[in-house]
Amino acid sequence: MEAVLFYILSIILIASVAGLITRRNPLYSALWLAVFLLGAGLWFALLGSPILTALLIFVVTPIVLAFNIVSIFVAGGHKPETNREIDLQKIAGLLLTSIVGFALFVGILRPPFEEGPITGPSYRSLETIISIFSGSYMTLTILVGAILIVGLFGALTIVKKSTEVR
Amino acid sequence: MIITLQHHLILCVILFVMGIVGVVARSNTFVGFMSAIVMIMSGVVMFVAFGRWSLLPEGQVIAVSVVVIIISIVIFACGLFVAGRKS
Repeated sequence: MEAVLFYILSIILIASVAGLITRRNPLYSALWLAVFLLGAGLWFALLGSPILTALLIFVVTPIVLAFNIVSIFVAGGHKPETNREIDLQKIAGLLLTSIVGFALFVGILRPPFEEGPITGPSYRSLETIISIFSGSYMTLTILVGAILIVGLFGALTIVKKSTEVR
Repeated sequence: MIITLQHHLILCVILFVMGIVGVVARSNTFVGFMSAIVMIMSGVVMFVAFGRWSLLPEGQVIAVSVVVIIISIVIFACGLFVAGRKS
């Protein structure tokens, strides 16, 4: 079962990246990127990491998709398509969404992996990950926080400057 | 058939190479940016796969950190695109 899921997932991932790099319209590339991110979320589920699956499917994919589409529209990078192309894209989107939804359903229902350490908390539990973040990986956590703060101030400065120009 | 670490690594490498092709071959900035995200994500999956096979949680810890950085990069880059276009 795991092998079948892995091969289906491989086909989805490779097809989505192929779609991303071959589409002329960046708007459709963004949609293919969303399919890739959903597939990557399922891949994490297959690797026994439900936290990353949830993070990728419910947080990263909507954020990346929304920001990419908004910036493509605002920057004027999209081109109008013919009705036939739009219909084909709708069918492909529905098909891919059904496959991803089915795989997600199967991933939730399948039995969990065997646990690694016999004693102590599981290597993939949220408790273990948080204890590592606040323990031996404290420096990494601070570094990530610092990068986020620098990014926040950078974004604010850019927005402020672009507002002043206008 | 049993899926091993090598299967995951091969898929990671395929996706990483496809991301490189997208960055190099496409002149569109948005597509190049999205291909770079694909490259980063395939690297993240590699960390998780190594962690899964060595039964260590460090792979997931690094993956969560990198995913958070990806979100900030996306927001920052999109702001940059929009600000560049408006000015």
